[in-house]
Amino acid sequence: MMSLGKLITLKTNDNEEFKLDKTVAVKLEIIKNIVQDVDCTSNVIPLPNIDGKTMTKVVKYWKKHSEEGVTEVQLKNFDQDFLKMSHSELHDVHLAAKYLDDNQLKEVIIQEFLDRIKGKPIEEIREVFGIVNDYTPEEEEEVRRENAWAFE
Amino acid sequence: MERQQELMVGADRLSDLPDSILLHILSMLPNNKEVVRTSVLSERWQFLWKFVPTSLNFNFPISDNENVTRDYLVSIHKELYYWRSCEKIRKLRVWGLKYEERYAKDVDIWVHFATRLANIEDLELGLLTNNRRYEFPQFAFKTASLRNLVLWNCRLNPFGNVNWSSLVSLSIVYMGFTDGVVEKVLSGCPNVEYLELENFLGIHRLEIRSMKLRELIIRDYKNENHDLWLELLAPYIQKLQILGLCSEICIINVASLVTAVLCFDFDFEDEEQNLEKEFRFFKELLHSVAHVENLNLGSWCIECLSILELTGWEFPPSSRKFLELGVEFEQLDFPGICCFLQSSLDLETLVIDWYDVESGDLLSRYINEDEQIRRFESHSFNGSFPYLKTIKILNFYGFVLPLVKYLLKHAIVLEKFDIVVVYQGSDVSTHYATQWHKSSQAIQDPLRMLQLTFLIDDFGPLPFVNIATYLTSITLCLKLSGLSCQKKLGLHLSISKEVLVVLHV
Repeated sequence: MMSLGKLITLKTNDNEEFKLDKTVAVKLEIIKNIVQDVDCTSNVIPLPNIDGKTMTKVVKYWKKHSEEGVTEVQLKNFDQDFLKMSHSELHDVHLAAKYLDDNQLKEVIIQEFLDRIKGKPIEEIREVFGIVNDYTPEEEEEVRRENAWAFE
Repeated sequence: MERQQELMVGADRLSDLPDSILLHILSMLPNNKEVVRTSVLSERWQFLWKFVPTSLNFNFPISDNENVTRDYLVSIHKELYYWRSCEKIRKLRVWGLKYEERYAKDVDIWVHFATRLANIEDLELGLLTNNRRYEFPQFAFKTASLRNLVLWNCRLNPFGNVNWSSLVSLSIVYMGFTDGVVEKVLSGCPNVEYLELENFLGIHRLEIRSMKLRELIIRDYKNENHDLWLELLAPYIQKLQILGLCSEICIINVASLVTAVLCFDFDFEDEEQNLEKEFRFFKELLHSVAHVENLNLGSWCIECLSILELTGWEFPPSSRKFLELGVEFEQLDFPGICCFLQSSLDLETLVIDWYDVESGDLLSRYINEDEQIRRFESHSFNGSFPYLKTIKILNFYGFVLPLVKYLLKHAIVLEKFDIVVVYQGSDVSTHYATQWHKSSQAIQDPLRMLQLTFLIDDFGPLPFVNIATYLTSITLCLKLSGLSCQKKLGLHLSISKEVLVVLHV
């Protein structure tokens, strides 16, 4: 059991609070630095750039990945499930990971984005990601002609 | 499908991501043409691909048909032409052209693209040839963007000064040098940290004065005149590797050296008459690296030290802390190895890795195995290795029991002893387990961590029942040897490097 003294509170910009075991939290460079700066009695770290919805996801990820005795397979399954979110949510988590300087989470998100576009034909990438084609047919034809070599 | 619909509902768009993330994602696409194709997505994407870091990699098809080669050459030219508008080409690698003089202009075009148009950081030019070497063009000796350069079968002969101010790593393979060329090239590379010279001849003196250059690799140095040795002066290098098949090298000054890897075979001109010279070479080599902290010896060195031990030569005392012996040896080699160990009393870590097979049979001409076993048994060493804490025996599949006993007896502060057994084939026997049982009886008290790993090569399917038998017998042996509770003991069984079963005995 962890003692209360070992807990750290993270407070998001919509005032949601997350209590984390200190040993989990200080693995992150940014939190470690803040912990050293912040008044130790309050133990509350404000996260002005992250909302509660996103932080819930991040904390879920951290907790799973710092679980004792968790196996590679379990983590793989967890990640797969965890990444089932919309692009905007994925984007938010990426920004949060970036702010928190969590390289591992950042890479996981980038890899997911990559998997979503890899090997897909142009039309499908547009469709899946809702990209609006703002070329005129003539312009698109021109771009295709210019880069025809890449379509060979 | 369900997931796709779900994603659509959010009305979010990949295009909403900031450019920096998009570029990062695009740079990870495995096929760089796929990156270019995203230009068609929408206006925002039209030029994004030009800012995505990319590598161009061309491998010539293996063919003796000149038309095939010609066609591929043309296709490279074409593709480079298209890529010219990309701002971020990091690397150009062209591999496998069977070089003939008539291709010189084509190769010039690639080098020009790399050094003048695209300002790339990494250039690898892997030319194959039996006769003519490609004359590296003069215009390419001055370029500030290159960081890593690999050249095969090129001739370097700069007329003026060289300026490769950003170059960090330089590998030159298959090259006929003249004395002074390497120095001239290096004088224009103030930031080079890594130099690899492979398959080269023609020089007899290599002087490296750069304080930045930390690692030198010499592989397959061929000396045409065996009376002239390659003199090496490199007072600031920290790591030296001599690998492959090499002629005589005389190390004059490597004062700052920390790590020496001497895993090469000696290139004899005439075996019988030159044993004297061979041993002289080895002795000088050993003297010149006596001060290094980490030493790694290959098969030729180990054979030499065995023979020298027989002749009664005393190894120069050294302050080395790490020693790796990288060869499969026999009981024949034990006396030599132990004497050598006794000249390394500061040793903290010993690694014996049987990845290489012993090349020569020189030692067996001097003495037979039985006699060596007797000599080893009567070998007396009253001292100890006061700092030796870690021993690893890797890829082991033979007989090392007497050596293990010797080490356990004299390594008085030993903390960790790892043995990784390679088991080839599926006919599992208890031979090794039995052997281990015997040696574990000799284990001394200070030993805190004993780890025995059985790495079973995937030489076909392994019947599970056999593994189980194998494991049981090992477990039994360990229990028998009284090592069970009071010591932290891990037993790892790794099958095909994928499944890992950890048992705590």
